[in-house]
Amino acid sequence: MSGEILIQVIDIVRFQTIRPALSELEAVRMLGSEARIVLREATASPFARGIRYGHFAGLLSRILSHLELELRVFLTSRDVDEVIHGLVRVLCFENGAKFSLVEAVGPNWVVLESSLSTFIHLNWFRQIFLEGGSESALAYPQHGEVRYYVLRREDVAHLAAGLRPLLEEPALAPEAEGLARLAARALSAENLTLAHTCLL
Amino acid sequence: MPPSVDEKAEERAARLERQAWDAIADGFRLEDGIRLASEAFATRQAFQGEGHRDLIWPLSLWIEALRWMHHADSAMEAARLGERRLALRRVALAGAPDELACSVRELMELYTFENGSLDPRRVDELRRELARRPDTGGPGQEV
Repeated sequence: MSGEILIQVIDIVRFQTIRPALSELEAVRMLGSEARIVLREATASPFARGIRYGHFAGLLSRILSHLELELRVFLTSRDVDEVIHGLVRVLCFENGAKFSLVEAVGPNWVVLESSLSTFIHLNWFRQIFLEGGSESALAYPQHGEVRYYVLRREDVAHLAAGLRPLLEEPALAPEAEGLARLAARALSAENLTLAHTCLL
Repeated sequence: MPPSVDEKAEERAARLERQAWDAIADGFRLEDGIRLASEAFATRQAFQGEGHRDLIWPLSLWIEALRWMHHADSAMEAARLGERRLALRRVALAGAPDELACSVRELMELYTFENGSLDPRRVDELRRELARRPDTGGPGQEV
């Protein structure tokens, strides 16, 4: 396995709540009242303007300005993919799914890059992050470069337990500590879990 | 009651559009995307007619796939389909002049390939059209 793994905290219950709205967007017809509420909520989020230099916020504004129109008439497939991805980021991920490739560990993210070659040799790590298969894939976004996979809560607990001995190892400590913090955060509430994606 | 001929055609067109979208977004199956989108377009054209607004979506998918090919011929074909799409949007977006202006800009972009214009005269026409529109800062708009 090459590349990097980005791990973040996701509100999976929130995702299930907005999933019908995401399906409606994907149908590219006229939006119903529930989907409109979801879009308005995203518009009010401070994270909305940060996505692709405000392009996401611009698309939300265009849709909400023309609720009488079918999306397929004035948007492109790329626009719709961007709206779906943006909604998941803004409404379901902590801190609007913000992360950095410069800092491997942040308040709501961990990027495993150089340390991945060490983690990958741990059986429990491979079981949790690589052997979940397609059934752990988040239903949306299903297009574009990013595909998220979510951990079951027992996997998050498994992760927390596996990380404990690594916290003493200087080479892995920053990422292990960051992951342990994210796992503890995910386990602190029933609606939370961890999502991961490959960054190429 | 069994589905009517039109219902079957609608199902087929919608399925082709979904498959085209998947193929285009995948990035490695653009030729499949072109084939599927063009089949969806032909299906809708046959059962909904030449001027139906539902033709816009398969056209958009088709254009998207052609744009990702990054060839001059594909870009020209995308612009040609973009003209067809704009003609349909002029009717569908008659009540939404701001969106129609967006569509005109999209067509101008379709005529751009590798920092050059595929048809400078046509792009000028579109630019003049935009300048005339009151909603895009043209002479009809009060400053």
